[in-house]
Amino acid sequence: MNTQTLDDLKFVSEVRKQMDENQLMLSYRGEMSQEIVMALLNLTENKLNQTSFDTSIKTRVFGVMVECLQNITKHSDKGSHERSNVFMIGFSDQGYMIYSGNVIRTEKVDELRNKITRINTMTEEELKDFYKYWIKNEALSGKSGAGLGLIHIARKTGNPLEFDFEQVDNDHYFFSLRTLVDH
Amino acid sequence: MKVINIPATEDTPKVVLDHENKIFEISGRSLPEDVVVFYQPVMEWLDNFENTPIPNMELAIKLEYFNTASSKLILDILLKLEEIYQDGTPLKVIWYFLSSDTDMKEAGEEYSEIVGLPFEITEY
Amino acid sequence: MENASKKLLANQKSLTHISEFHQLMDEKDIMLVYCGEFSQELNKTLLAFTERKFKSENVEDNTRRKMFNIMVEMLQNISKNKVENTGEDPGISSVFMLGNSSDDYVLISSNMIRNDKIPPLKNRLDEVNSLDKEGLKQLYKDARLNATFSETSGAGIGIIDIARKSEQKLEYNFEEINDTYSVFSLLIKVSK
Repeated sequence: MNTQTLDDLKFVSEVRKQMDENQLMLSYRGEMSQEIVMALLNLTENKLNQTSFDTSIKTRVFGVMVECLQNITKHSDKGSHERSNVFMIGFSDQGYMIYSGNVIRTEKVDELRNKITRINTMTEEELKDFYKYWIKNEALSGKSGAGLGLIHIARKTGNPLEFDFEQVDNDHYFFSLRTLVDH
Repeated sequence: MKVINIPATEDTPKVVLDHENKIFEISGRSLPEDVVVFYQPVMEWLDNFENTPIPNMELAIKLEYFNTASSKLILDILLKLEEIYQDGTPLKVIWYFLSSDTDMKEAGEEYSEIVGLPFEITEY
Repeated sequence: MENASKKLLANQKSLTHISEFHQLMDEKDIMLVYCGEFSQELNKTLLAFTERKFKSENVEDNTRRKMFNIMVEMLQNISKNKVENTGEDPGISSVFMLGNSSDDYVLISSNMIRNDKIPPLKNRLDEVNSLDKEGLKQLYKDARLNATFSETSGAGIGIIDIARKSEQKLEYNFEEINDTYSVFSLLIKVSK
């Protein structure tokens, strides 16, 4: 990785092109601590506050961001990998696009995939009931808390969760999630 | 019983549990890194309150935003209050929401569906 | 899921496409890219973000101060040099980036510039790159006394200040888009 680090300007237009094509406003890659989560939230919140959208839209975008970012701080595998944590936010004529990704251990893949697939088949009412069931019966302790966050995201966006698992090595996968908050 | 007065930070709410001045309030934003640690003193206070309850407590919950991890702890607080209420101590929860924030209103409605205690939902 | 993909894909690039961009960020060790409107308000927010990130990662005070100063100048250059809307605007978005090379933190700005503003800017950049520490100090003093110079070049004093803080050569590039506009990119290093 180090052979190609950032030391010339040749790729700047490529980055601009990628940002434009993906309709991105902000891309962050690297460490994800609560401190960085708060810094990223402040950054996007200030940007959001300059728009004229309803408070409820802003709150939804904020909420989806919090869940995505905190999922990374809580569930990202801490070892060193080829792939890093990533968070991107973009704005298009459809709404806000929020993309996040992190490396997880291979044994967690099936459970997470099943969870999202199940959430994606649910109606609004079913999601509401599932949320109530989950919050009442499933403890937040342990590492299974991602479920509640994902249900929340699905409910707040009203759109299904788009996701992917990409193998990094034998023990790790890169999990990415993209959601859209309509405006 | 100790008075709790925790000022708000950018990721934790203001919490006042003051039986002397009859002010009971949780307000602001709740998205701490460790919700269990943050709400620990609140849960302990409620345990004490359960042992020596004071009637007619009105808990104002005026949250601008809370994450899903906090939503579980808020439910734990409400379930504790439900227990105290059902043991015979009259009390009330007032859930505030900004008129423009329908999601916060709905969140209040959902809690009121889950717990059995006087629960008022009010715009501010 | 199927329907989900269809809806999202109607107007958007696929997840694979974003993933490729992420790979580019990994390869080049880019930490942050912001693309869009630059205003005084936004600059403050980007500065606050960077301060906080580097503080939380225990970056040395002196390095942080340098980065902060350089970033202020770079961001203000972008927001001040906003191209007036003449109808022939080729719509190149402004970009600010933060990254790493093996020994340095790297700051990059890239924005549109009117071609007639290039010669004085290029002169200033070359002049700054030809000077040593003492020379830069002298130039800085002179430029401050000679206020009109900085007005014509726009980035006059700012560029000198950046060079003094960076203590490394400034890398730059002008890429012509049409008769009126070019893209100006600037890369600044601060040693770790």
